[in-house]
Amino acid sequence: MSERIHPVYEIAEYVAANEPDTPQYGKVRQHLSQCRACRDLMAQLRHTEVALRTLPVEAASQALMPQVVSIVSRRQVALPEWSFMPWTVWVPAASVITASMMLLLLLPSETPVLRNLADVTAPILKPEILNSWLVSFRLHFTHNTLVTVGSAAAAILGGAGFVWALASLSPEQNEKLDNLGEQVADRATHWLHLRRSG
Amino acid sequence: MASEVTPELVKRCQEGDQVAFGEMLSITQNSVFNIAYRVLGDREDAQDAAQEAYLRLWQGLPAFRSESKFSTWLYRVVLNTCLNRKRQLRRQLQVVESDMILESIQEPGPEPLRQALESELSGRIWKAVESLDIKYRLVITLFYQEELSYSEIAELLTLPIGTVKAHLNRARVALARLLPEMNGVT
Repeated sequence: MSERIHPVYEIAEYVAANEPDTPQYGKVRQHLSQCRACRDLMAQLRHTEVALRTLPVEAASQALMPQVVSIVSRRQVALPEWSFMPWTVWVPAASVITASMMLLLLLPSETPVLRNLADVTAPILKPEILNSWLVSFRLHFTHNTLVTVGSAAAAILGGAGFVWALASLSPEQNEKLDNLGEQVADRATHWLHLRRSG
Repeated sequence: MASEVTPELVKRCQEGDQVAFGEMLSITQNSVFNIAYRVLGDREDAQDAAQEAYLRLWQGLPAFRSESKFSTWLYRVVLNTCLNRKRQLRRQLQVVESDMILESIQEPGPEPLRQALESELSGRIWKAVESLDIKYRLVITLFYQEELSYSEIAELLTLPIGTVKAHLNRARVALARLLPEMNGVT
């Protein structure tokens, strides 16, 4: 029986939905009224449906619960402290914002990418501002040293904030991120494989 | 079943109450083990995966913010634990087989699928389910045994609802086509 001529999958869904008398399955019912082969399949699908709904659940071994409880009892759980905004949110956010500010102060307004934005960013993008502020603390840097040290500090601070933010994700978010990561890795592997095979 | 875990019980678990965790475990362990077993196909592997999933759950409980239903989160933890052990399954789940491939499920010849059909209908169907591809076993388990809706399964497996329905319908048809071999089942 060809699936291209007979709507077998639609019939399967119709039976699983308990054969509702709705317009959604109008074409299915019409086909069934004219096709003996599909009516036979429908009878088989009904039996399958009943059997599937009574499938036995594979029971866990008696040892599972004691094993898990015994491991868990050896572990302490830190209770989450309530606060208006948890430190796991504001500390990473503050570090990323500070890092961004530092980079803005360090980037010269002549940076090619930012040239078009020069009018807007010129008042901000001046390492001299940062340098003059440091001089007030009796710290003297050359322009290049300031940019190098500042960029490194910003990268470390921003990176730490980002990592911290990732580490602070809730279990649901973590599971979703894991899932996403796996899918990206699989797609990348698949793409590489296709590229290699020509 | 995981849906029977009450929010109060989850809250007690979150507070580090090990007795409550034990209660939650006794309610959900068969579901968790069943899913792990259907995916991994081996009792020992399923036992290890279930244990690992519960430990991940315990560690994650304090930060669980009820953004999703507890049962959905539990299933996701179990599935991710199992999928980490069966990495190729994640990609297989995305693929909806052509009808040609289904023909090969329908007529397997003397292979295990047909050999399995030798006892009572329910048992025979169950054996036949075990002989299907993992992705079909998984959606059948989630739909018929865990009684999740199409949309819940789609959310859990991060698949479009259409793909979930396609997997289920293909499995149903493949199983139904084996019924004529079972004389006197009605």
